[in-house]
Amino acid sequence: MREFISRHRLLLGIELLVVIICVLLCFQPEELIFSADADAIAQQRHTDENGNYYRSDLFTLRPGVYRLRLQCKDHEGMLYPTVGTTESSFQALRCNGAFVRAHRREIDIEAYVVDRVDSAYVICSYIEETGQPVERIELYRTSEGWRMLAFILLLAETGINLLIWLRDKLLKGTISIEQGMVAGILALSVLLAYLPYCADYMSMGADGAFHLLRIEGLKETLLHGGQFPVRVQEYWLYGHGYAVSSFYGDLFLIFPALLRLLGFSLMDAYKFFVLAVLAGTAVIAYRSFYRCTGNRCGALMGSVLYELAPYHIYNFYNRNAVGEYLGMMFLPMVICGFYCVYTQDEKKQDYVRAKVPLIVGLSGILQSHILTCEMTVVALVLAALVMWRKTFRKETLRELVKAAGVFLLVNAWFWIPLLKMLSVDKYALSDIVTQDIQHMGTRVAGILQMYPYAGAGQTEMYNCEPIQIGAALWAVLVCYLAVRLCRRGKSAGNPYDKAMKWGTLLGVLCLLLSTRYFPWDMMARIPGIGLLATAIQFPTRLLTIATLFTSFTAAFLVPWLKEESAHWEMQTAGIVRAGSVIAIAVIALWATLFHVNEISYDHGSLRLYTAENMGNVSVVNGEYLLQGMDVSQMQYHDPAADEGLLWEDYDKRGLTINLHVENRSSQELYMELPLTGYRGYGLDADGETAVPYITENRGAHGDLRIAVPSGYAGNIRVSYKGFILFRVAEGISGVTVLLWLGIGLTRRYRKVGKVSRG
Amino acid sequence: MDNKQIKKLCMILYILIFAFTSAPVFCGYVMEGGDSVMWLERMREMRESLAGGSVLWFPSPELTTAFAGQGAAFDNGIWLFPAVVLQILGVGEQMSYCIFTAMIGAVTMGAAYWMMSAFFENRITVLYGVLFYMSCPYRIYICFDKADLGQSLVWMLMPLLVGGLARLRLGQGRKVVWGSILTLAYAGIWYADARWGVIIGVCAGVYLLLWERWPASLLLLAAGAVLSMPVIIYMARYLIKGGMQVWNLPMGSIMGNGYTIGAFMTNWTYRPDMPGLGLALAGAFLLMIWMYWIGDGGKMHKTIRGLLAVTGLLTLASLKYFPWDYVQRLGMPFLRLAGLLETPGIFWMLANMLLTIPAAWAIGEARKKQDVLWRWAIPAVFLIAALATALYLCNSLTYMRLPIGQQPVSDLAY
Repeated sequence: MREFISRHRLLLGIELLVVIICVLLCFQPEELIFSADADAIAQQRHTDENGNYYRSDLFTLRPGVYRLRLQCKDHEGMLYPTVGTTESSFQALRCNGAFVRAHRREIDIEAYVVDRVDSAYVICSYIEETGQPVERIELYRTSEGWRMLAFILLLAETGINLLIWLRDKLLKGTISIEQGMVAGILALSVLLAYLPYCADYMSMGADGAFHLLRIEGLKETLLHGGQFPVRVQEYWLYGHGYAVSSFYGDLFLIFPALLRLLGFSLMDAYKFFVLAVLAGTAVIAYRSFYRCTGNRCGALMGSVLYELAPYHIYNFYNRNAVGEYLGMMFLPMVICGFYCVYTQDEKKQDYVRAKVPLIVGLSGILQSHILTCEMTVVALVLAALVMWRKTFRKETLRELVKAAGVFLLVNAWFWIPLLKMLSVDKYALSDIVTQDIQHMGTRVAGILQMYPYAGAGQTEMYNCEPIQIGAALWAVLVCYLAVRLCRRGKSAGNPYDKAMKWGTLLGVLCLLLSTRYFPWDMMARIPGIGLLATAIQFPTRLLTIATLFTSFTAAFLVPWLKEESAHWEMQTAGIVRAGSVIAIAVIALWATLFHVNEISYDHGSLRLYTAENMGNVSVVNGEYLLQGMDVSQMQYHDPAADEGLLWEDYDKRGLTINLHVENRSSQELYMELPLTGYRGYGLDADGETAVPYITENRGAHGDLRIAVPSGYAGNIRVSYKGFILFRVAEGISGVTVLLWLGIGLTRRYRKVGKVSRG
Repeated sequence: MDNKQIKKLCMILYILIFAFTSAPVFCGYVMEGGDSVMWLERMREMRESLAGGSVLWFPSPELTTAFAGQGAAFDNGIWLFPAVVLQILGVGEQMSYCIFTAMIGAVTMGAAYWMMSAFFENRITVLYGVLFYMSCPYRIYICFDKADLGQSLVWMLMPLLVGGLARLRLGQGRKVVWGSILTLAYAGIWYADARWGVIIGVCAGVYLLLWERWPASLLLLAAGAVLSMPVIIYMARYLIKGGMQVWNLPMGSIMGNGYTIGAFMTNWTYRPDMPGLGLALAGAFLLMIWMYWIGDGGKMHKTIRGLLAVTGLLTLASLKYFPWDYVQRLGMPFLRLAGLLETPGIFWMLANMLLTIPAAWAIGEARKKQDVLWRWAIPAVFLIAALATALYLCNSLTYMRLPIGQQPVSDLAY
């Protein structure tokens, strides 16, 4: 490192200077560009065939990030403010506008200007609104543009430095050409998989709006600083909040949420995130498969096929299934850990390290997608039972128990609150998991559907989505089967035979389980297993595991063929090995190009610059809603109090509400607050006796309800606090991580010490 | 590789060929489009007639006019018995259709194997012959796109006829068996699609008399024709005497529906009702020309050369420039027969069937060379091209065609 710094100090100095300048510019105050008060707005209201609208005079906008703030009185109709332009260069002004729904008082929307716009204006349409509720409109130029620039520069500089560092290492011979090629091919596979997002728009899959809202909700909740880790996200459901973070791990969504805080649009933050996950998947898969096989070419083949598998790409673009593709990122680690625990020499000292990928991988999956975690754990338990001889070896069993223990302790901050939440309330989730799922499986023709069309249907062949392991992975299986069947006599001790056999068997088994021919509905009726079986919602989810196992087989194919061909004629061996690898690579490339081109061509384009434009009710199935909640009845509203209960000084920031209440009646009165009534809210009130409290019963559409005793007058503050158990669980996780890191570092230093003494 | 290994490898490839070229039958439902609904109705008609104590051997005029399937007016229902029996046994209509078409596919592959092994001894050459036959875009078009069960059966029976003839001509023993198969196959073609009975009879007669100079073999075809008398009489009565106005049988000019030269070479997509050769078959044809051009191939057997010549003539007949209008003016029987054919493209189908044999020969000759490129790489490319094309055609159909009686799946199914 020192050498690198001294060699490239001029370049590094310039890079540092540029970043410092950008960072300093980030602290500029917001600049008011335009404002209009109620009178000015009333004067410039127009009516035409499109309805009522206010339109400002023209003004100029310089490149930067802008924030349009609209404040209004209580209103029944809808408003639609946005920033527009009469003429500009292509997409110089990027703003979608957003609906201000009934009873909403304030909205902030973003606008991005990438080229000078001389004829910008603010427009606000009135939809089913006859009054003049708008009190003020302001447009600010923020410093977020500089923040974004600083981040991009930092990223670009890191990339350049990395490339220079790689070049230096290659020239010195510290990194082999083979390693360089591995890095290059992995990078190309990431770019190939990312092709549909190499545009200034994105495509929205079925779950897209939900996951984008998770990012936006997380950002808003982090911004207001009420909770960390976040359990109930504000912003959702007309500001009522949604406990999505309690049930659906959003640890990895902190990255796009931070990008949002920097100033990137929601679309760009998400696209950055997708690129990062694709890169992470390629690297993790390669590292994991390399650790298993010890063969670079094999690991490269396995990881590239895993990265480019149709089901993997489908999860990104067709479904925007963030949880599932994040889960797929960690799956290779799990299989690597499991493989190492079962194949490494248990007498060796470094056997204790074999379980580390298992713990990290499982933790990553739990934090990403519970259903994938469930499938993985069930598969691991079954595999452990099948290999019971090895499982019940003293050392192996000890390591497995330790792995399970550490996994549970590290993730205690997530699963203990999750179980607590499940135990204290009833959610819509329980209605959804009892559905029949067998008809959601694929058909035999689906297994033969090897051209990954974009599609839009999940269950039939017509317009079907690419729910398949893909032609390349099939080619791997056929290649393995052909060579194995053509083998002369029994295996001559090929050390990779077992891995190939089990990888293929498990892959095909999962593939069969993903079809509609496996009696899922019958399974659902078996007590105990039923809930586990139907919780996966679609049998096709098992293609995640099928893709993993077949990729694992693909990783072993190269070393397996090498061992196998040792008994063949030299020419035949060369032809079969080279031919197999080339054919599989060509099929993978062709299938992926077909897939990504299909997506680029067929999926609609969405240019989402203004997060508010999405609304905030895309809960898909609404699994985490309280049982009985009806989203269609929800809207923005002020506190709804019983007659005789007075309230004033109402202030709502995220999930925290401050207000003054006064009950002049002789009985206890109730008030419903615009918060979803999850358990865990706390109420602080003035006074010591007979103070307001949160009731067990909830108000309309699940609103939080508070009771105010007779004669009470004072300020109250309601906010989400969670339970003491949450803090305990967080403490357990924190201590475990610190201890684990401490033990790991101590071992490492001891080892280094021994080596240096030796 | 020893013989046993090659056998195992071929086994895997045959399974793949069948799976890839019959992919739509694994849907478990019948796709919309083509004549599939008409054939389902035809099965229902037969089932109901059987329940009523009679057999409706030919489709009713109501059925053919309702589905504009006049071309199938002379298709005998005898071949539909397996599907109808399945339905009577309680199998669903669509599932029985799928099973029936899968059976046709499997028997077609077996028949193609039988035909190719009459011409070639080498396992791999036979495999390539079967591959070309099964993955031929015209076959996939007939079986799944047009969903014409009558002509699918012709694809199944034609190799039995050609294979029988070849075995008899090449003197491969058991003459009675081969002769019986040939006779039955020809009779079967009449029952499957009477138009094809005429076309194949004429082509085979011309070929056997002019090229092979083997008039004795015509007796076998005649025996087949005798077995098909119910169909022949039914059709001949129409061709000679006319009538059948209720059927509204076509009598228009067919010349305009013929192929243009470019349409022969299409691969992944094609103009409606005009599938091309496909990448593999076209490539094998070019390979054959190349090998002749550079004088690199062995001597082609006279029978195969004869088939190539017939293929050429059939190709000419399928062109839109072929004077079918003049043929139709030769007299009312000609007008009616040509009208029933609906398109000269029908001759291209027969040309495709026969071309698979010289195509397999070309691959067999290429594999005789010693270097890796010719022995392994080029055949492998052909294999991949044939399978990829067939799969693309099948996958596109299953992707784009709705199941019968279903509405499009919502974009937001979950």
